[in-house]
Amino acid sequence: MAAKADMKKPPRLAAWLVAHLATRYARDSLLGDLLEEYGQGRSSLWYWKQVAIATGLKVCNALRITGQRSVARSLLGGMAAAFWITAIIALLRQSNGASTCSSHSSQILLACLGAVCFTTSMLWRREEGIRRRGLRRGLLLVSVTVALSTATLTWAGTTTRALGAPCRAIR
Amino acid sequence: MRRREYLGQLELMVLLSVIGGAGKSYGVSVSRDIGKQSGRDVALPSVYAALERLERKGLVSSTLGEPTAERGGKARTHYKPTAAGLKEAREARDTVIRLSQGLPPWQRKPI
Repeated sequence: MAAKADMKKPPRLAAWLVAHLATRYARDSLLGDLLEEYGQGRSSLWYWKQVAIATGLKVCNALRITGQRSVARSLLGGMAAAFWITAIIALLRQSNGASTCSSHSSQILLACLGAVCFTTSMLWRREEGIRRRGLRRGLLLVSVTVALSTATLTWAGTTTRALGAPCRAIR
Repeated sequence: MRRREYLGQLELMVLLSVIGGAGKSYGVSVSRDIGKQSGRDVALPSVYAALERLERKGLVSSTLGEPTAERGGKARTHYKPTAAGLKEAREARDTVIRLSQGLPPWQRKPI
């Protein structure tokens, strides 16, 4: 008991980080090993270096496990996010211009809804279980539907204006 | 047919250290052993990552020891090689010996 009380304690935050960020495999053994080495005269800097390496390995491991699908998903997500942001900005600019259609506000709303749905579905953690996976897919479906609706509305608005039915001017 | 997985340099060093440890190897001892023999400072998380891969490949097996006070009540995980691990290490050694036939000898500096 006295030995435990006299034991040199590692930086609390570093120990917490190792406990939470190290891979699940042999986590307790790693914590014990780090404590053993630290107790035998290693510096706090050494301990922090181990924390950094453990964190890096965790990230690499996660990327390796999810593999190419993860990269493809990230690329797709980035492209989709860029599309949504551009769409919202374009619609906002259009509605702030000299003329507006009654459909503009609904288009912006739809675009926002689509963006929120898509972002949520992309950020949703994959390992949450089948039920949440279903929800995630549902959200993706909603975002795709919304994208199609927005595109259709925009196209319809453009066609209407081109046919000579301009939107009401804002005073 | 199962694809053969080759060992990386760190994995091979960890495996050889575990083989030399006679069933008493654990993270710190492996890290120190590699440091002593190769002069490379190998971080403990890297050692455990290599051990995890080796265990997944069936080349080492682990057993949990007794928790001790100096380790904050955490137990050591002891590693020992499996028959497949010994075979893999022998094959790796033979391959290195065969491939290094063409390696020129050290150039001795004139005294």
